[in-house]
Amino acid sequence: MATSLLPLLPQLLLVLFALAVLLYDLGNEDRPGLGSLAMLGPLAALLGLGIVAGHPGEYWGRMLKVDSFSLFFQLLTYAGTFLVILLSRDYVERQPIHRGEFYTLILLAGVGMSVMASSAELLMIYVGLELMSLSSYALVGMIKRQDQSIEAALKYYLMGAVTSAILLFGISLLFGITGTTYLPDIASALALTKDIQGNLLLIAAVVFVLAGFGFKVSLVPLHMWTPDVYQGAPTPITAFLAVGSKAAAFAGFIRLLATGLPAAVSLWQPLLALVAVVTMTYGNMTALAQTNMKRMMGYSSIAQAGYILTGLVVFTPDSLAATLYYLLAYLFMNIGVFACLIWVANQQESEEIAAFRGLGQRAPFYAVSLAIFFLSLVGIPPTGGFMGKFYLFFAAVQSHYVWLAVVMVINSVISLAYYYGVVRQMWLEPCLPAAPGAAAGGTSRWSMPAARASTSTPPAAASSTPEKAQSWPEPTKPASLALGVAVVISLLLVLLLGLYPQPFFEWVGKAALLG
Amino acid sequence: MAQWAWLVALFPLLAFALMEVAPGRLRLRRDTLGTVAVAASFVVSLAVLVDVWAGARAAASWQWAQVGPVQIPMGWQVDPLSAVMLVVVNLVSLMVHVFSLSYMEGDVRYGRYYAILSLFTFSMLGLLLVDNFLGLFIFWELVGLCSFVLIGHWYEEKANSNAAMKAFLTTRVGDVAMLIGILVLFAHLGTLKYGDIWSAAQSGQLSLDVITTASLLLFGGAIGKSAQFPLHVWLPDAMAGPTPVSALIHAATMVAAGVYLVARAFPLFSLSPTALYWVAVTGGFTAIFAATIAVVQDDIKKVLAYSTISQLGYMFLGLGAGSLVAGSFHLVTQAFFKSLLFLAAGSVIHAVHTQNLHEMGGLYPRMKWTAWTWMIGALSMAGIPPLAGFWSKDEVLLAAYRSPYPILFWLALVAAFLTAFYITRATWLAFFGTARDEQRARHAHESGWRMQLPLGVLALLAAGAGLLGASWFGHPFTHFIAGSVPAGTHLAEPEPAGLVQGLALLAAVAGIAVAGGIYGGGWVSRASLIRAGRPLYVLLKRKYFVDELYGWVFVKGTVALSWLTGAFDRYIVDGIVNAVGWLGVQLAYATGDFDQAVIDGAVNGVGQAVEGGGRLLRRAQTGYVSTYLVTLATAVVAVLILLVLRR
Repeated sequence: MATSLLPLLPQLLLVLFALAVLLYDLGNEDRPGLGSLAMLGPLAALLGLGIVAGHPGEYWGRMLKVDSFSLFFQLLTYAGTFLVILLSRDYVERQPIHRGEFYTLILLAGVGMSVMASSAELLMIYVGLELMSLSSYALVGMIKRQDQSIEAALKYYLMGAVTSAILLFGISLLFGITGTTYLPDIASALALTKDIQGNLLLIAAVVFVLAGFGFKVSLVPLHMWTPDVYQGAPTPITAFLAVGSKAAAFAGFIRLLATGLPAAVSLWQPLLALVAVVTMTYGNMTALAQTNMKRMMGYSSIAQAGYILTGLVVFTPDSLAATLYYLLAYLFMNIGVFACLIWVANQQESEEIAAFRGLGQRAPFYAVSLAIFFLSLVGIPPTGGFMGKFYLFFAAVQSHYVWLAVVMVINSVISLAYYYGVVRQMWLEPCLPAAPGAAAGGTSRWSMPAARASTSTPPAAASSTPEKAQSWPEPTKPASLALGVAVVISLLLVLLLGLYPQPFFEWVGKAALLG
Repeated sequence: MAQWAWLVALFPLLAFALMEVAPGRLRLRRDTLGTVAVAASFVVSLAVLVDVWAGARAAASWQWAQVGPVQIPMGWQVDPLSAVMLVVVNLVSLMVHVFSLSYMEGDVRYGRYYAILSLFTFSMLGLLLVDNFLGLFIFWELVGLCSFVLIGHWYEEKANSNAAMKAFLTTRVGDVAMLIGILVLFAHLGTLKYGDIWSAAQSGQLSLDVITTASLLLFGGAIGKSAQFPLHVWLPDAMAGPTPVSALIHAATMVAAGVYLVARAFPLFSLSPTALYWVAVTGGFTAIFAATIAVVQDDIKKVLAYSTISQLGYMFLGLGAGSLVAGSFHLVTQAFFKSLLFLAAGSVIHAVHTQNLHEMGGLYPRMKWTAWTWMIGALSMAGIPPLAGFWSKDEVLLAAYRSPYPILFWLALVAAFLTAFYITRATWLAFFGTARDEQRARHAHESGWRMQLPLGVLALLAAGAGLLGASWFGHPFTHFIAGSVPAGTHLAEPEPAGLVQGLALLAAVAGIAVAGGIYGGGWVSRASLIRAGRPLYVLLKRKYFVDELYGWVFVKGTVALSWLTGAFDRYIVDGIVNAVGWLGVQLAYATGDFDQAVIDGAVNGVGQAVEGGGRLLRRAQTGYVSTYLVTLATAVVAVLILLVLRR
């Protein structure tokens, strides 16, 4: 028994800490060190992962799989969870958020994500997905006094419930066709099927499971929740959805396609190719028109999902490795962006792009870091985003998907324009007075452009002269160390991934074999 | 010494790093730090050139990354082409550093200016040193970034930051092609190292189609970076940056990177007549196209900007005509005379505080040093022997004359006439005649040794550098540069033709004479000239309306599309929901009441849970979420039907 519990060590540790946070918080909401306790969770899980790494194999009636792929995604998950808690520490102090529940749910969502990555069994993947999703729904609605937060949670929940049902339906169809939910067995059963193209039931099954995962990674046309939820959620949770949830869903997605449905490649490959192109183009185009930073990042993450999907479309060992590499870089560049965003929002009480005005003068460190994260998101060297894109392009061109690479490169040029909109605010616009002025300007922190874009006005300083703008008031709140740490970690990794990719290449190359 | 060539790039990088991290007191000396670093680089690069000239070569390479079986090495090399360019870049950069000490004095971001200048110099030197296409691309983007920051140096003016963005975006269009070109080579050969690619191409490992495709895609990057038609639009706007920056980046070095790329990849290009043809045609057309626009510009920097575009066109014409020597030789001489002209223009602008030629005039008596050095640069560019521009332009014209498309020779000849014309016009308007703005002219004066010294040094080179390639000494540059390509490369070394030299000289003299006659001699008044050729004048003045066209097609088009997709998300989905909704519900109903039950159940359940959230709930029930859900269901069902029908 002891040996059979071992492979679950990281997840168990995470659960343990989730319970510890809950207990520690009990009765007294102001206990010190709650955030630190929560941060220990993913760190302990990382240690546990180190132990588990020595015991690859399948456990518990093949429900649980420990291989380089699952280790990769577990590491991604724990690193992401750790960074998200780091981002939250400052945030929860300023918002009417119950910290105990908040951290517990983040840790539990992390458990769900790591379960998704650690199984080749569809039902287990589904259970992981649900654990992650249910925690996320609650997390999105954590700011209980904000209509927008609850509205987002409700939307996310309703849509998530429907797609979850669709996914489950797809899984049941697959089970009906092949008599198993174990992916390698599904693959071998399908390999014996002669008329893949003509099998109606199989088509339905494939479409339904694709829809289930496509929803979680925000592929067009299943993306509609993304901007609303990203904008409404507490910002650290937006980051969590953008990196953790997306990475875990991609883990399940890759496992499903590569291990379970390689025989049906002729069914899903053209479909996903089309979806990838539409997704990246649509995301980038729509991001151009946004005025709210979180909403813009929502569309940006849709576009990024399109890029990442190309790796699945090309479907070679190289392209899957490139996908993993990109996800790795994507984690850090996105966390970095959101850390800067939270820092600015703390100062300005606004998450509009206009809140970044003059950041280059107010806080050069955050401004320069944000610019580097943006460069990485666009794919300009010497950043991890460039290496990831280059690897994806390379894999695509190698498999004669030149047109796909062309669409991606063109898209990355388009994306330059909206990131530049923020860069322009940071350096090319006069400085903005801090919070009190902004509040007087009538901008509601939570105004949602989708519904009320026309009513939100740029903060008060719009009309102030440059001379006046030079004398901005001192920031009302002290800068947070936690956010700075998160930015530094992200920055180091983004640059490391761009400048010294070799060890990471080896790592993802091994993980992409799914062995 | 050649094995120490990497030091050249190291000094500016160290300087930049020091400037960024150094505390308090040191930060104040960023100008000195940057200048000293570049000076050190210059000395090393000179030693390297001497060594390489004597026949030395050096290279080093190490494993950077490995993707499966594919190795990605990183390394550097020096050969004649890069050794010469290292010296040119360092020299011009050093001159610009010195010049800026005075020109940028008291600037609000003086320190940052020097930091970025160092970073740029490092990136440019890195671009010249690397031995593979991935490294080239990385530095290629880095110089673009520096250029972006420096164009927008005075970003308080909206026009300046717009210009910076325009430059960055326009060149990125070319970079798209370039990156794909690099990937095509990588996919076919599994290597990105220059040497491996050349030998693979020459040994017939690549089909002609692949070579042509890759070459043309790479050339796309060059078109963007070197501002060739149709991506030339960013360079004139880039003049929004400080004038020394224009001299360094937008005249002598970064814009030359495109030419360097084609020269570097010449072993590849020379295998494909089609690729060479398009290089030559693009260059030839741009040369005359930009020259015509330069004729009517009123802004002294815009004249020089279009002149740069035109001269870069010459270089591509030379390369496209099959002559590596002609292209790279003109690259070197142009770097000297054009940075000289820009710095001289900077000296004038510094003195009179205007860039408008019509507000200058009569400056010669007060700024003799600037005027003389400017005129040396102008005559060199016009192609008057024995100045540098004459020799290199002669090589280009000769190559075009002997090429299979002599029409390009005649185009280039007309462009040579126009070149002489517009630079004489600018010379006259700036320095001679009566002062059109007494106030400004009276206060004009030279600005001290820090600005005069660079002018002097560059004037010497603009006058004398051509002798390196002069027929009088048996074309030493030709033999030297030929050592940059593998032995098997076909290098056109056209026979000299007296006719070409004669015609070139005639065109130059004629251009100077006509412009001198019109502006100096007063043959015809400017007003009557404009009146006589009104439509042509407007066409040129508006730069053939290319900017307007791009504004309409690309900028407005993208904005419209973005609005459309945004609006689609916000309104259309709601609008069509009634129609689609009905269909969707029917379909959902048909598939077993499945979605419908879930939606209803969920909505009702939550409805009871969230009491008091009436407004919210109404919204969730009446429109928004159901819209999303219907769209979601419809999408899934539509894909399903599509796949079933396709079956």
